[in-house]
Amino acid sequence: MNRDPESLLPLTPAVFHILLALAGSERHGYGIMQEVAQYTEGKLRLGAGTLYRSIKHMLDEGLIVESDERPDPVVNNERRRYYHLTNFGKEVAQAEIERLTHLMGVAKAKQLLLSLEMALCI
Amino acid sequence: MDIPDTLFYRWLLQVSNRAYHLLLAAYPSGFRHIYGRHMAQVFRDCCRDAYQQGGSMGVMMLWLVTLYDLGTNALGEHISALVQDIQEKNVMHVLLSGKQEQAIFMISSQQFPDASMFRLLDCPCTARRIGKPQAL
Repeated sequence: MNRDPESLLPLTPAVFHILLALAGSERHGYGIMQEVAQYTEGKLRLGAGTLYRSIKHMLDEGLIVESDERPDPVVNNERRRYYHLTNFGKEVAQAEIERLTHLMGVAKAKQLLLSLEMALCI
Repeated sequence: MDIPDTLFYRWLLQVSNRAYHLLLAAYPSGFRHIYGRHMAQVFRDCCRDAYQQGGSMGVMMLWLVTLYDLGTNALGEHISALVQDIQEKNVMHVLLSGKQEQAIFMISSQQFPDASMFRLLDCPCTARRIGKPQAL
């Protein structure tokens, strides 16, 4: 039975960031943390508890699946469990992005976005 | 940037890792069993990064964030486990009273991660008392 991606919206910030971090390539827990910290320019750092509770929730909902466990030669040679997005996970991420885009449109129509842009210019 | 491999650095990492291992006991045992090793691994990596970027002060800051993260998530995980336990007991109660159709409805309308209810139904004790439900 196909599930409606919108039934899981809105996503928590941690779940949305993990989906974004896993888009494109599979990663292990620490790799997800590094990716999120990198593209948010260090503004968001997931704690280990938040990360693995979100991963548990996402596995239960079928947004991600575990790959094999293998070492990451870049970090060190310890074995790590990798995760990657499922098709349903991609659909949920797209639905969340559409929801956020719609909100951006509302903010723009109410000239909130404009004032933010002006504030950033100053 | 290379990390200075001093005695203090090794001591700080060792103490931090041991303390984190002990604090993992705050999580429910099921969660800890599956994710504890990976969480400890990630914390060790974060510790190394924190020392690399801010020395012992960086590790202190990491500990502050980690304690908050551990407190909120351990509590949240205990509440989730408790809610799931109550739901399972409700379904079990209905099953034992012979209302299998109602139990099937409850299972399909509630979320049971990892199909834990189906494992419960496979339990020989339950099967003996209610008869294994073929519809499931």
